[in-house]
Amino acid sequence: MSSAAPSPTVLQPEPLVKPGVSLHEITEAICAPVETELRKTPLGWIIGFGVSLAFLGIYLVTVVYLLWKGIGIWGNNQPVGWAWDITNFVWWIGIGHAGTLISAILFLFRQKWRTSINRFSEAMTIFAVLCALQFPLLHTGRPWVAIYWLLPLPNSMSIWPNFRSPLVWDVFAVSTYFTVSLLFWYVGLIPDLATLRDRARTRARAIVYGVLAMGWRGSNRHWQHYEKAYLILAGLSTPLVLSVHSIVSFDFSTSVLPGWHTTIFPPYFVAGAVFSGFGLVMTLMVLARQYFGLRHLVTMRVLENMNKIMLVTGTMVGYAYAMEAFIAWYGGSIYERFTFANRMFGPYWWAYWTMVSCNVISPQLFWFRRIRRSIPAMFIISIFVNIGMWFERFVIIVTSLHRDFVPGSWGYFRPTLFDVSMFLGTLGLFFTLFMLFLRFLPMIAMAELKGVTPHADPHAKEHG
Amino acid sequence: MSAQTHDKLAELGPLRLGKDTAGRVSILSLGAGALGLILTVGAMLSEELRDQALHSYLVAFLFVATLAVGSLFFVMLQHLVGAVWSVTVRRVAEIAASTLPLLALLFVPIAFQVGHLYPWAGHAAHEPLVEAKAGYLNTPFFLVRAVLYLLLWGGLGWFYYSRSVQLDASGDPLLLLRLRRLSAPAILLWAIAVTFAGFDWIMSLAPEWYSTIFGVYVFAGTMTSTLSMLVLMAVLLARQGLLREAITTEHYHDLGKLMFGFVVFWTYIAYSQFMLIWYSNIPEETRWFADRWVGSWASLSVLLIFLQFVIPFFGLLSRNAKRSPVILPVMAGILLVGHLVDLHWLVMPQLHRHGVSLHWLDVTALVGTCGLFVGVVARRMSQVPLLPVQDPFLPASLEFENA
Repeated sequence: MSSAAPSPTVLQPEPLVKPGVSLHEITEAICAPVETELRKTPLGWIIGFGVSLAFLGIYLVTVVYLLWKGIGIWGNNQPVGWAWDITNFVWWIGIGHAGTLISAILFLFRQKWRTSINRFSEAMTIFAVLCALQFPLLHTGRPWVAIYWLLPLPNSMSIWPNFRSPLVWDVFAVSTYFTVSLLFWYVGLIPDLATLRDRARTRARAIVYGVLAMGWRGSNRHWQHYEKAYLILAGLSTPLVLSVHSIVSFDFSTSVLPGWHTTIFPPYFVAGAVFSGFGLVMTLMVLARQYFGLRHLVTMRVLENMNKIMLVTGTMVGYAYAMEAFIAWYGGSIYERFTFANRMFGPYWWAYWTMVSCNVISPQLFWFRRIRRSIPAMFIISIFVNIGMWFERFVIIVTSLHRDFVPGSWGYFRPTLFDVSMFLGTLGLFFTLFMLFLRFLPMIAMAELKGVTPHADPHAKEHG
Repeated sequence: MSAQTHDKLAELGPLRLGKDTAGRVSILSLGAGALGLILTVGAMLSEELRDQALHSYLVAFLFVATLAVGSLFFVMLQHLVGAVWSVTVRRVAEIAASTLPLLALLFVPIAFQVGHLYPWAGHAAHEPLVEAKAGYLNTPFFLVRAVLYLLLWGGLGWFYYSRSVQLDASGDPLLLLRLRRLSAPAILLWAIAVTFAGFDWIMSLAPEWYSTIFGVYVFAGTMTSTLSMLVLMAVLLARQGLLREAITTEHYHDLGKLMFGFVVFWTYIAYSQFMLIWYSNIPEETRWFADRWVGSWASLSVLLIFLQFVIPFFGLLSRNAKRSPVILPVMAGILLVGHLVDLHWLVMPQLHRHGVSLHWLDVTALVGTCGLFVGVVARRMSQVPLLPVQDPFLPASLEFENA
């Protein structure tokens, strides 16, 4: 969109990229971390990668032990049959949503500020979904058998998926989501991979990036196909942003359990997912732009906009908490009323109020422009958001289960060492993949970012 | 105003609805509206027709209320996100929102008949489930809340309209900045008011029933209908030779995208509500849908799916349809009818338990509220320019093209 000539400066948005940065400087800044020779790999990255690998080791040990002993090593019990496993599943799936929202919905809404963060968050989406998948699969205890009731595979055991179960819908929703996100990410990467190929100084790099770039030459026709493919993938991904977490919410809301069954769950889960996704993107982006010196490309305006989205989605989540609580009272059912009173003031009161403080109260600070633009403030708040959204799922799952209709069967859930190691282990898996991404792929979409610089605006001269 | 902008505005032709046309339209609509209101409100005084008149009136009131309240949201949203493309459409929406103070007037007949319209204030007041929520569902508190909603919407509607007209004279960017700053907290309050108004005015017609998503459902229908109304208003103005160069195919295309988006959103919300209640099969909840599956209500339920989803979804899917001067307005018309059917479907099964039953009061009530709305809007269209002429982003909006 061309900028309006006579509009006064107070209403003019700041530039997306720091003014005066040339196209060449953009390429250099983004390629630098990828093109550093292996022997000169920065120490910071090696330490980060080493720590991630260590946690990945914890993950592997836990999984082997889990498969050997069974899921009894977790703290799950009667009546709390779902606990950290499903909490972690929903938490990780939710985190993935920032990537799809940024790459699809913000694209359709012509929000050009997304270009400097979309690659980064799309990568996070893919890794987060991989982590999420571990939990339901391992929760089945024997994933190699579970495949028969998850996927419609003909077999001689008379096992067939129950298509009326939201858990089976999950399988299809999540795998579709993973596939489309991966395609979207890869299509976006192609022009940048070609740039890396063309700049390669060794034969090996030229071959690897060359194969990955699939013969991209940057011709007019290539770009035309690329833009079309991108738009179509954006259109396809948009319903996926809503569908995946809606279906995850069905896992709970199709039941008759007070605290799980409520009609606002689908949009509420989607808002929460986007909220948590932006939380983690913010946490990692603040670190990455500092460490890799990308402050002129991921500008304050971009960060401020992300904070505004967190304010909006955090407030939506607050709206959903309020609706749930209000209707629990308004509905008049004693079980519903008890469940909510128990959530707020029962044995898990600390989890509930942690959730409310982190998710509803802390993002309200973003009403203030100074806080929206303060790096330390947004970093701390984003960590609160990550914590709060984990607790949200914990509160929904565990507080609804631990005191069911019959007081005689009430119980309490305590995590074991293996609950913790499993969770930390998936963090290791995530960060291992993420560190590799930072080292070997361009973390900002170069070609797209160049498109939003003033030099790329065909009307740039008209308005001076 | 720069010379360049001045020339551009001059090329656009007249910027107000002609006094003659406006006068004719507003006298006709106000006359018909007054007649409709007199007949409907008169019928409320007759023992025999009272219940029918009240329910018909509620549907008609909600129809106009959602359109005006939705227009206010549209205006505030454009300020909030700093949209440039929509500047040429904004004034039309502002004029629609400027009718909001009158909504309080239209609410009066309901305020006086709460006990006859809402079972929790009348015959069902002493049922145990209803008594359990008497702290919320009681006539004084109901009226206090209604006053709050109407004050909020009326105030905001008038504020956004009058300040925008002020901007026509001064072109002061700080004024625009103030409208922008207010939009975020205002939308928050607006959303809370729409939610609880939805609970109070519609959901509580079936006082035992509840659904946490209901406020979002009301919001979704509000938006499909409001965007449709904006498209139709622009088309009608173009027929009068107004804004033809200002609201171009590009602007219709964007309005069409939003319409399509909200059609999908409405469907998503409606489906979520229905599917979860159907799946869980809890009697307190399913009863509300069962009521809408009795006799000919079932046909209306199916018709609703076609009007609000199937037809507009496939009709608006392609780029060509959204840019077509025929298909887009036709879809807008279908969605407006769909919204009316939706409101009828929400309200009337409480009265006609055995099937759809249309009544002449449905027509008089609708003519009454819509006549008033159209009459006021037409008059305002001749009084103020139909574009925010001094908005600093107007030139960019006039030039706007979809990539």
